[in-house]
Amino acid sequence: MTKQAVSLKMVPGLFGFEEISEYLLEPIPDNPCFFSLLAPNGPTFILTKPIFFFPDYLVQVKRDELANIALEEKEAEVYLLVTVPKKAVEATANLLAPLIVNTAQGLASQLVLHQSNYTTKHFLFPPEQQRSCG
Amino acid sequence: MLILTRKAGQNLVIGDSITVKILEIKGDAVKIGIKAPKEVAVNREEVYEAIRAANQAAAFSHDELPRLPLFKK
Repeated sequence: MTKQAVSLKMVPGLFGFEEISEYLLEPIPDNPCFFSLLAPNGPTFILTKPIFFFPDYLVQVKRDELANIALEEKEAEVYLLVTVPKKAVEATANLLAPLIVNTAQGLASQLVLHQSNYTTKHFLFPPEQQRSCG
Repeated sequence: MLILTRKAGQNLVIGDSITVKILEIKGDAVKIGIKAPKEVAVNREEVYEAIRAANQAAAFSHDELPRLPLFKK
């Protein structure tokens, strides 16, 4: 897990942000569940890791889907894009399209889990059971 | 828009690196195989649109980052 800032090249660009390829991934101070993905002169995204909120999350991909980030499975780090509405406890994560990161080589790619039943919106803190982390 | 008629088993070639195969036609559904370079993303349109919308909803500008809930064990 990344403890300091890592420069990432997004290949290809995030859906809807295809023109942006350079990002900086870093932990959010004092909040171990979240990371920021910052594009200089562009948007910033909030990320989390599946282990904090979705411990049963399973990413199944074909080897060739990871080819553009030069990745073997053992090196893969999985992050999830988080949408934070005005009421932050209603934050959701996109489990359909995780971010697969090759930290060693500074490459990342947003995969689509075509065969899964995941969607782009899963609550981090389900009203009935607010998970803890940290 | 270019419109072509193809039968099952016939292919289309786009540029010199993309091949579209019509694999099977059953009722109103067509099964298609696409061979494209790894840097070309191929997605169902509705899936692409859903993820694009989700990414845009998730984007903040640097100076308006949200305060995230801090959950401790």
